[in-house]
Amino acid sequence: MDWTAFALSLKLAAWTGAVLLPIGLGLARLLAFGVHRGKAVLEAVIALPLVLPPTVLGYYLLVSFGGASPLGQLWTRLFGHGLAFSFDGLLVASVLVNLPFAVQPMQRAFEALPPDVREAAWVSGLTPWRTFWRIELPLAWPGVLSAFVLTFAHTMGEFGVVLMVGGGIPGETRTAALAIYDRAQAFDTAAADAMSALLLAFSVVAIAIVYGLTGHVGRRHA
Amino acid sequence: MWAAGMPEAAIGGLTVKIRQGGAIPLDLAFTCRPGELVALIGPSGAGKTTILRTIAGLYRPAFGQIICDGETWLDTEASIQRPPHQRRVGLVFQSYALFPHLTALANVEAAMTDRPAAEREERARAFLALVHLDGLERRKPAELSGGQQQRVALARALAREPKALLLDEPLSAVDRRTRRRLRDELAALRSSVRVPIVLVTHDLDEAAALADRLVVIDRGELLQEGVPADVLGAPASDRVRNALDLPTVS
Repeated sequence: MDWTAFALSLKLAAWTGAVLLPIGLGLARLLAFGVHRGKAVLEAVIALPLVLPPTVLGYYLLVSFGGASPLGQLWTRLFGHGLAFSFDGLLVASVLVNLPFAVQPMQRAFEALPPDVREAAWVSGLTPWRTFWRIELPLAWPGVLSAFVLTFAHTMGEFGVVLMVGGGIPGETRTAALAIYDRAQAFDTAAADAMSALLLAFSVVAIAIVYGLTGHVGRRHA
Repeated sequence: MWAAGMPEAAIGGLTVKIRQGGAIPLDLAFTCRPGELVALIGPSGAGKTTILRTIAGLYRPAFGQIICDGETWLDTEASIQRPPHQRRVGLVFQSYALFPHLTALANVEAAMTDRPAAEREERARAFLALVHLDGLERRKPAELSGGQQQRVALARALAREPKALLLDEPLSAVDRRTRRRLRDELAALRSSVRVPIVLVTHDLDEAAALADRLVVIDRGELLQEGVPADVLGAPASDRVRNALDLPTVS
């Protein structure tokens, strides 16, 4: 059992969720309320990681992270190390891969709000910012939490992108999913069994939470 | 630019001028004095709700001017457009649009954004008592009847301390008995609300019972205005008769 890899996966999942929460909220609200022109294009771009082979996405990210690329050079100048084969690079990749998992449930939750309830808040004197905190978020929270749980669980199991961008360096970029692959390759079935069972349990709990919340949303609007 | 002979902005009152073509044609101007109740009446799709939404700041017409209590809320030619939360307007939505996660009391308190927090609960209780909802303060909207939700919506609109009160078909979604009682209460409430009140309705009886003045609208156009007895007694044209669903002269 590779606890270091498991801890790294947890850390990556927590950071990905934390970074994607504000980004996802912004994009989800933009798609639900803001843009009309170009909405389909933006939605398609956000959904792209769902259908793109992870290795392809990982390859492009690796190229754009490299020391020869502008992004890689900028990162090195700012933080003193490159993005490729580092935890930071893993996090950037993970945020991009998880965009659809974060944005889509939140967008659906905001779209389900009755439009006149937001208007009633403005007419009642609430600024758009206060309307967000007092009316939109309390009504849309099951979708927001669903998005966080899905992102977290999906990051725990991400393989292709993580392998391409991170390279599986122990303690730095070797996540639980990569460790399982390593152990299976080395015929260490005991370790592979234990870690797989743990990730399975994780996924089951995540799905139970998401479906529980979806039922909750249905009841609220019934 | 505007129709000649438009009455000037009444001091402390509400002046509305709206004009646009396109999918929702509108071309009308009217005023409403403090304490006066003007009923916008006309068939469905006449543009009545759009007029209320324009006053509240939820809709922006191509050309328009809204002045309320000396404040310019909208002036498209001067590029002035106050957002809804900066207009002191009480709007009762046709669907009530209560905040479903908040109690009746919290719904009313939500409209008191510029009152000190310590005052809000007591004032909100007073507004709920005014609309005869004492004892139901802790109920959520889903636990209230249609008529009760309507009263919470009215209390919330009043709690905003509006400079204009707008009512969008306030009695359309309740049963006949509740409607009669609410109508009587609304009539009684008028003595304590000294702001312009604009009521949108397609119900002639409701308009005649509540309004000081009728503004008959069809396809966004003002057809006739006047005190109910005059308008009903002498409709200006067959179009007015049609808009009011009165028998036309054959």
